[in-house]
Amino acid sequence: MALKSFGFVLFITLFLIVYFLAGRVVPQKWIILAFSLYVVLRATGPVSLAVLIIVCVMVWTGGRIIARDRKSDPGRAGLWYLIGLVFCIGTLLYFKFLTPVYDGLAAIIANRGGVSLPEIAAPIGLSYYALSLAAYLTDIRHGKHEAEESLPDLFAYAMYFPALFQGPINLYKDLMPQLKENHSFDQTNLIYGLQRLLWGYVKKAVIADRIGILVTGMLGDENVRGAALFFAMVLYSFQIYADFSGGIDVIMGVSETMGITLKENFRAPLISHSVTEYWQRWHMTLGTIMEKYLYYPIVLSKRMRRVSKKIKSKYLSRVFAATVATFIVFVLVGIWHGTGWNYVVYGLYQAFFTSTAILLGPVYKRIKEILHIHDKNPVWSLFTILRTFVVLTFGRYLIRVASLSRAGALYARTFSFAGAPKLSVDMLTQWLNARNLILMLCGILVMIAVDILHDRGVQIRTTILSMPLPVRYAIYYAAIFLIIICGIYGKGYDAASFIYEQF
Amino acid sequence: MKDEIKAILEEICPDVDFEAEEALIDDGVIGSFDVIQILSELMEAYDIVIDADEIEPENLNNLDAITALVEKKIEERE
Repeated sequence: MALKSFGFVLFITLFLIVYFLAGRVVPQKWIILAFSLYVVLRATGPVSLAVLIIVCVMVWTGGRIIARDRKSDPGRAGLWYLIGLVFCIGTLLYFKFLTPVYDGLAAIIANRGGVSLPEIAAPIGLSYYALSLAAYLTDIRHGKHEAEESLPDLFAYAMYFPALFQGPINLYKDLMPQLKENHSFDQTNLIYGLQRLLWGYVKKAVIADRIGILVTGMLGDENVRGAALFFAMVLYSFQIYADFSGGIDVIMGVSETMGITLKENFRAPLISHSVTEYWQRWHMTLGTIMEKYLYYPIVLSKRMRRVSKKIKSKYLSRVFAATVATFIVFVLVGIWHGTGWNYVVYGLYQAFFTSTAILLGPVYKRIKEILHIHDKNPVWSLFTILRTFVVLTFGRYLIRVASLSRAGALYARTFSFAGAPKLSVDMLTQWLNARNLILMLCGILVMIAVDILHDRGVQIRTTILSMPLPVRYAIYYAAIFLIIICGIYGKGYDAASFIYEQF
Repeated sequence: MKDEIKAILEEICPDVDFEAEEALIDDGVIGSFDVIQILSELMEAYDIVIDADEIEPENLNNLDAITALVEKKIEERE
């Protein structure tokens, strides 16, 4: 069941009916848990569900022991912390790196003995599941909150199904209290939730997937080189943002309808003025976890303090600590996104730009003073946004393809200008006709405009809600119409396939 | 003490109005490297140790919270 499918919409509708009706007699967390179990079983099967249950039982047990022995028996608490982490992070690492080993063994055993081992698919949402439970254990260890007494409650939290599809990562202290209480039906929540869900689907089905057709077409055509190829990668930047943030909007919308508020995952990342700022605005829930549980602990660790004290300059010694931590964090963020050297290099690329910004910070500042450039100057501001966008777009070459060598080939194609066919509307209409190109362009512009308004504190949702009824409904119908008629639903399908996809 | 700390913070982030800002961390007014610089400076100035798990918005969101954190750490030291 994909987020962008009629099946999902039907599933959510059914869920919400049960959630609010049966929720009057049964705690809503059990209803959420039941639907979460179904999502995992349906998406990745019973073995994957068993894996999630085992991890949760270990973390639950570990959490209780750590909370009890934290002060009285730190050694035991530390051991259980380690055991818990091995189960969370170990499982994640296994499914990211070691499945080929298992498949190889299974093949050998099948050949020799004729016994076939079961196929184990990576559980849906494992990355989010594992990180949130690892954070849960760490917080107990630091005495931030108590351990969860109820195993099913912890399971309902970690497996919260809306976030299994593509995040966000929810910390225990943010989500669990909301799951423990029952939420009665609220019309405003429903309207806001549906607004956000519709906007998410517009971003995903209408904007991202339309761009996707063009990008795939252009990258697949060896004749597309030079500026045209870079243009395709610029479009890819918009695609990946529309797709990811659109999916998150759908999830936030569903949660909001339920009366549950999740932490925001994006804050207009496309209008960042620097790579550092971009990472404070992009996939923020992952960023928070990385910063809180890796970056700060590394920088402030005793060992790091000892090493960096040897550097005479105060500023440089801090830069040194921050740089080491930045590189570790970004390489891990890279690997978190996918396995392969291209993801490692992607992490190094991001770390390079964020750490040089810190290292050369005083130099940049001095240059700006000499040239009388003020950060709030609109021309300078626009320049820094574009510069950041270009740097990030070049970085995305690394994650658009499956391997480092392919990324290298893509870079080479970008810089082979000689004889490259000129970028023109005629070239683009090979893959998307003029009508679709205009729709795509409008979509991108609207998306950027919405982000700029949100960034300036304008609440578009309340503005829409305060409009006269006919206008409001015109907007909602337009969105639904756009999603159904202009959404992209698989190759060779007409619009109707959205409706019939699951039948 | 509050004024002393304010002076330290202003030295590191001259563009930030520490009297007015209430959500330095939550609103992203100061980034992670600013946090590192501020903590390192405070640790040196007051001979205290601030651990990574104390970097929480509620401890660093405004001047009062930061002052309270430093005072708590000085007390713990003594």
